[in-house]
Amino acid sequence: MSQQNNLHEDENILDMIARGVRGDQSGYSDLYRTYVNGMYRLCCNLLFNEQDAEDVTQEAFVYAFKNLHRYDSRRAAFKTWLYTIAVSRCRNMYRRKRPQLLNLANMFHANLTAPMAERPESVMAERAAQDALVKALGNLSPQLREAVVLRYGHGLTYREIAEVMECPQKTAESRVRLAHGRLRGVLSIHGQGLLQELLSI
Amino acid sequence: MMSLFRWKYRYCKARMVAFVNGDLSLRARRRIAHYIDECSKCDDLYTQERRMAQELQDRLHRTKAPDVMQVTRMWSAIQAEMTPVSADKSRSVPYYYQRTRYAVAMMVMVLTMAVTIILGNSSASLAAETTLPEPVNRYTLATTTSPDDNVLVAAATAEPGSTDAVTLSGLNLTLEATPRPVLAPDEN
Repeated sequence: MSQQNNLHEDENILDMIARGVRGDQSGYSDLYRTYVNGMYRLCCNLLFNEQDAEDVTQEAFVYAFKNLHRYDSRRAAFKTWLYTIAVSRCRNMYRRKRPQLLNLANMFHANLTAPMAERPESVMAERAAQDALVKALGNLSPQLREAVVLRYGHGLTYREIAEVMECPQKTAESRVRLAHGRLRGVLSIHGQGLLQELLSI
Repeated sequence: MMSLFRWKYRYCKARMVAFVNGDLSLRARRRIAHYIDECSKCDDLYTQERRMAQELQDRLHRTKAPDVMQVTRMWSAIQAEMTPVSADKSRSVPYYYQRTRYAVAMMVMVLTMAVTIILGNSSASLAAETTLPEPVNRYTLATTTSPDDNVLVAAATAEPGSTDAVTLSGLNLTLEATPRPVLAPDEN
């Protein structure tokens, strides 16, 4: 059943692409609506800055739409192709300037739903955990951060991660494993343990 | 026995992330599940990794999606960049084409300048060749009268500095004078 759904979804995407290639504006707008959230979130997770994320998302879409005729559905899924463009643009961006960690914290908090919002301790604990994650992600090398974000933030398989990051699948796997190792120490201090402790007060 | 547990722990450690993410084969999954059951260190590792994966998933999924204003703003900007493709042909040229165009223009300019300089030099040298002064040959003409009245012997000797000095020096010109007609006594 889910395979049928996927097939139907793929057909829809291919139809949008075909319309876009013909120059039909509705094709572009449908593709944009379908992928804008994922693209923007990916850029936010990698760049730690809302304004930069917006710029890169926009730039990646423009590039993708202008080169839509080059997309080959037999080689990769459209989402993977778009993410490859976005990640490449993000790399350019963080080569130009260092990420600003503070902005990401605000960005996360804006959508934060604390489990027990009436208790300030729980909110504080949640924020502390979130800040810890932001810092830990910021301290990771770009390659490890990309691997983690694509795996956990966007649910890509290792094969897809390898396609997006243009590396062998085994390398993608080892990058996720390495990132786990680096993040484990940080999150175990500020993560679930602290949260549980404060919630039980 | 200790080393066996250590070996099992290492095996688990290397594959635990993949195990937690469901990326292992059925056989490897069963093996690790068995080790987790019988080894407390492997069990701790599994708990840590599973918590970590869940936490990452939860927190990364909480990243704020763009609001309506942002979506609209980005779409307007994309349209603004996409519209010139059909409306204005001159703007539809990709940026790298423009860069290539500038590069070609620069190359043409440099080549033109280079050709001008080279041609200028060669014409200057040609002009220099044409304006060279004509070779001046000066000869000293020495005439001697032979004992015979009818013969005038002239010798032209090239002066020093003449270009044809070698060829002309020592040239002796012998001129035959026309004998003066002898007047008859009755004509005087």
